[in-house]
Amino acid sequence: MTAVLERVEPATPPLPPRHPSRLARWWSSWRVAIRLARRDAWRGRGRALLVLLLIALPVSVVVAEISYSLASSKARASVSQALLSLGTVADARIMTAPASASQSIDTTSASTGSGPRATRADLLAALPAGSTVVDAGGSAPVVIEAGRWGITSAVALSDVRDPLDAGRWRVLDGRLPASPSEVALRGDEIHRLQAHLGDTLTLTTTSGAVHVARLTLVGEVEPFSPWIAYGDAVALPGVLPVDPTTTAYGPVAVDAEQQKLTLAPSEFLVRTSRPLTWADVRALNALGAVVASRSVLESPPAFCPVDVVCLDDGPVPQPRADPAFEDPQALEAAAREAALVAVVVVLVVLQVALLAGPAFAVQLRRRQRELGLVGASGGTSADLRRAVLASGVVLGVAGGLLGIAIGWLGVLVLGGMLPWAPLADNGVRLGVPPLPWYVLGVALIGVIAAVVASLVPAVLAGRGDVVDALRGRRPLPALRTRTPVVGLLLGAAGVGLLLYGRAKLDTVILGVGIIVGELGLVLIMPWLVVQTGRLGRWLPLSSRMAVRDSGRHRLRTAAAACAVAAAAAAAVATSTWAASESYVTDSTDVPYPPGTIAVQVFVDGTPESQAGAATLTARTTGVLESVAPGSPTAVLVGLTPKGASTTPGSMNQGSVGCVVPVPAMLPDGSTPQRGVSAVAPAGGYAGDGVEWQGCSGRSSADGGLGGEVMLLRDPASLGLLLGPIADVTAATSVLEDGGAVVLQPGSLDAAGKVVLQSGTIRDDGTPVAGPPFRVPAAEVLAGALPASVILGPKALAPGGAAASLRADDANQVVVVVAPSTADRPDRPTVADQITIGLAKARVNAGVQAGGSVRPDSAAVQLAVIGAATLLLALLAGLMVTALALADGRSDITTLAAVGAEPRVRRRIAASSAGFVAALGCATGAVSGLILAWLLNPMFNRFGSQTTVIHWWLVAFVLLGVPLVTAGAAWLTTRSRITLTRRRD
Amino acid sequence: MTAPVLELDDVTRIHGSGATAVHALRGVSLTVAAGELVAVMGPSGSGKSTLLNVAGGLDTVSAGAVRVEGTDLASLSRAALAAVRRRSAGYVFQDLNLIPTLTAVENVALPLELDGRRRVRSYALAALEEVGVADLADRYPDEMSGGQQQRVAIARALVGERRLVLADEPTGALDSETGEAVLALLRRRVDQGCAGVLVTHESRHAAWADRVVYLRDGCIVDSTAYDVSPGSLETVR
Ligand SMILES: Nc1ncnc2c1ncn2[C@@H]1O[C@H](COP(=O)(O)OP(=O)(O)O)[C@@H](O)[C@H]1O
Ligand SMILES: [Mg+2]
Repeated sequence: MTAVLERVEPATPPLPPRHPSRLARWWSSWRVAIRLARRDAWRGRGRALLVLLLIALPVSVVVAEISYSLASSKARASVSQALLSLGTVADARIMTAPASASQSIDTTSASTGSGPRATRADLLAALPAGSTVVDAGGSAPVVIEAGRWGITSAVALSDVRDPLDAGRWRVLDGRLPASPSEVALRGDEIHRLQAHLGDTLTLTTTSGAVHVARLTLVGEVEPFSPWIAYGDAVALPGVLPVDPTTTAYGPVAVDAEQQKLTLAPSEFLVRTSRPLTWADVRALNALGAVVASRSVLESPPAFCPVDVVCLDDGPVPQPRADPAFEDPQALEAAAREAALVAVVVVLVVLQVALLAGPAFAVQLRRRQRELGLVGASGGTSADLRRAVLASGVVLGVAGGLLGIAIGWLGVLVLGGMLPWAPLADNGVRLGVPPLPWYVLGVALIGVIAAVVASLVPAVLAGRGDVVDALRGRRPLPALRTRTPVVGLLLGAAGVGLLLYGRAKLDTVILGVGIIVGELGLVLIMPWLVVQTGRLGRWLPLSSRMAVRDSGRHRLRTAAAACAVAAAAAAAVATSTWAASESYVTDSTDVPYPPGTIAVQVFVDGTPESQAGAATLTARTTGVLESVAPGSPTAVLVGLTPKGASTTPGSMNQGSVGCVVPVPAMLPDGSTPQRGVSAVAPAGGYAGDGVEWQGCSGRSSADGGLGGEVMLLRDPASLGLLLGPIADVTAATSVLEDGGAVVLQPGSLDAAGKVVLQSGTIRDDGTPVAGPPFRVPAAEVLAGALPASVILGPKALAPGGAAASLRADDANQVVVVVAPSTADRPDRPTVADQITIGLAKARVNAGVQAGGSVRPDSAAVQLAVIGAATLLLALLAGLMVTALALADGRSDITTLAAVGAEPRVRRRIAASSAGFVAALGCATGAVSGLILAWLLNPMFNRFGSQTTVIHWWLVAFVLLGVPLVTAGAAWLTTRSRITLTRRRD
Repeated sequence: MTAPVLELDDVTRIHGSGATAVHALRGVSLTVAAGELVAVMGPSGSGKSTLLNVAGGLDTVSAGAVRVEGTDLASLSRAALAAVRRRSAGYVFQDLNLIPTLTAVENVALPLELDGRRRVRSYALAALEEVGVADLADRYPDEMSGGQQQRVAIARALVGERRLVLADEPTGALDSETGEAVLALLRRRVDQGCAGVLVTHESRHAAWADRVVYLRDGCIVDSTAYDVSPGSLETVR
């Protein structure tokens, strides 16, 4: 004892100095806080993982986007394709075009002049001495037939025997053609033709004069690059004439005298004595040749981006304004884009913060004693706040870095490492994606979100009582819940901004309105939590406890409910938008009625069209008669104002459209783009001085005329067009009475008439709009036609409502047939037979079978929206449940002590998760409906005013999501009760 | 006698108000000088912890005055009270004294770091040396025994120039042998010139103190220099 008490006065070392500056002291206190937060996060890394992923997710999406776009521009799929198209031996591939071309290095863009094409001799003269040139292309559109079966296709005409062609074709079966009597096909085509190697195929050209070749099928082949052959078959040059309008890299504009089919090839492979430089390419360009040169592709000149049309020493100069005269509109557009990005960032930060907030609250609860000890050791309120904020910083930085890693690795794996590389750019693997330093800025989004999420817990930690914290008492003073005046005011301000933004058609104002409104909801929510908690009185014990407990912890409950609400609101608003749009598209875009086949005859500038519309229509009906004899047909013809020229290509062309008036200009003097009221004023129209736009919402450039108006030659055939859903009898009698059938919803005026307007273009190019005129009409929400309005012959007759119009065969002809013959398994379908027949009859036409099932795009969208909402609700609900269980553990222990069943724990979990989800979903659905009601008319791309609410989705959000969330909490909660250690 | 390090002058602390008001302390006066260890005893709920809390500025008094090294705590802001805990008074609680995410030496250095001091590690190591656990400097609390943790806690309570240690049942969670050793350490640190207040309910532990104060229902019912045998305590009460 004495030994212990005997003391040697220790030489007290001098107290360490304080940091000299305030800044250094501030920095050192942050270092302490960060150290605590870092170690705490590491100790609880399992728990922290959820928050980390929450923060990492948005960051990773943005990083992946950046990394992907950089990687794909680095991968330059076009250069790889161009190199592949050379095969393994050739030094260059030359495509001839009318003289004086210019091109991009990768040949994806080229502009050509006019004049004769270069010949082989021209090329040889221009190439370095000693070069060899081989025919490698050009193609001819053909019908290929094998027995009863036939397909429309194109045959590439290329000298595949030549060694220069090596490495361009993969031979899957048999061999490449070795003589002019042979052909090889792609596997798909062989299958469609039900042909076998050794069969004789008949190839008939479908453009220009009729050429027929009977060739033996010798191989199943596949080009190494889609750029190698514009076609599905390959034969030797000269077997059929080449169509000069097609080249391996797509159509090249040609003038009229070039439109004759020729036997001259349009594409060559070249072997040169020395590498072709860019200067050589430019020299060949002067001859009208477009060149893919191996050496230029492998080391492109530095002065030129590979995909931009380039001259001798740099890209074609763009008309670039002096910066001093920078287009103010472009600047404004850039500013708006930046503002929109900011709005989205704020919304994302808010959502992540709301979801992560409760996690920080529980972390605060866990660190309570630690913070108490810091307080007892002399930490100030600021130190305690810092300790919690530091958690936000630590988790934010870690989540941000994790997000960068996930995003980058995602691109790396999906872009090149997986065998099927779903992100590969046109089949070219991305390699190691670049990761620019500025993605750190993206990670900052995560840091900000985490710091925002830890803000309220930090404030609470600073206010908390150290003694309470040390005793482990339920510690934190709840923020007082005031009546939600401020929240309601903010909500109202948000709605006001939305209305204002809608009037100004300003998406930035709309975004700010959404943010303000959401902040309002955030402030209202704690009050709502308390108020709805009062309803708990009538609930069974465990639910009552859960709801009361939610009220006691209203902050974290409110944060989670807000996160759910934001998701639910987005779900309801976007589903309404999608449903409203598909209401329009479903009623206008649906396929032709089942059992019909529509043939749209293109009367355009192609040589075939020279025959004239009447001949083409006659040929078409002839083909239909031969394929499906005696079938009912309906013929639709385009309309044009009387007095306009009907010659294709003529300047003096006319058009006619269905129009609605554009309401007065907007307050800021701009004209609305969309969302214009389609409801016509009851008082009629003022002819001039009123702006019009097409019913379909498309405003066409000349004269403001939009959707097409067509004539149905025989009103009795209307039933064939509308299919079974529409009331055909009524609509037919409207046509027969000289009225119109309107297929564009919302286009009738108050008097039930459709407003038409015609326009012509004067010889000097100025459009002249005629006065609008009205035609009595019936609106039909069925059928599908390339027209908005159908008229009968009576409307065009003298004295008819549309007597100023006349049928214009040269404009457009659609023949719809309901074939009496059925498809048979032993021959091509009726539609294919019509396609082949029309091709051989030289009618340029599109053939579409009616009734084909389209995937319901809206249904997919809605499913995705619903699933995403559910996921977020689950996340928020389960997180809050975990908190409630951790916090309410002693209550549950008490319950167990008085004899409650262990199941109570699960019931409490399910109730609190369900409560959060239900509250969030209910407020979210209401907000979403308000949003949809305010915004849908503006964002509807078809200008339709009809708002269609997808009640199934709303019901799922209101009932399904809370129930599933509660169920998930029930399932994931153990019913075992752990006894807590109490401390005092 | 040196100037008192801690003076409680007629201190009253009332928790809550109205019907739920609890008088945790009623008119308590107590003076602790440097080199003096005062034991506070009394039944549970008698106000012992409250007394320690007001003495270190963790809690504020309802009436009366608390002076630490001559400074009246009533006049101080929360931040200044925190500064008092950093520079003048340190706490040792029953258990879980140490921050689990900091090593022993970091725990000891914490008050210094919070005070904005730099190069604190060697100083904190010296403090650990003082309490005989220098070899545990880089261990985390859960890698130490309860007695070792309490030693580190004592080092932390007195690190720097602090001269007042407020120990609330520091041996409550220890076996008696370890508890004695911890109290011996506390005694030694007090003998080196600090003042100490030790809350305990074991009269055996009070034997380490110079003086024992008995609290009941927030009042000091007796104060005695510890010169009597444990048995005589009964007569006092
Ligand atoms: N924050 C508080 N609020 C209300 N009553 C309290 C609070 N802290 C302590 N008390 C009450 O004050 C009295 C003294 O408590 P305490 O000082 O902890 O006693 P001891 O440490 O002697 O057991 C007890 O009755 C206790 O319930
Ligand atoms: Mg106590």
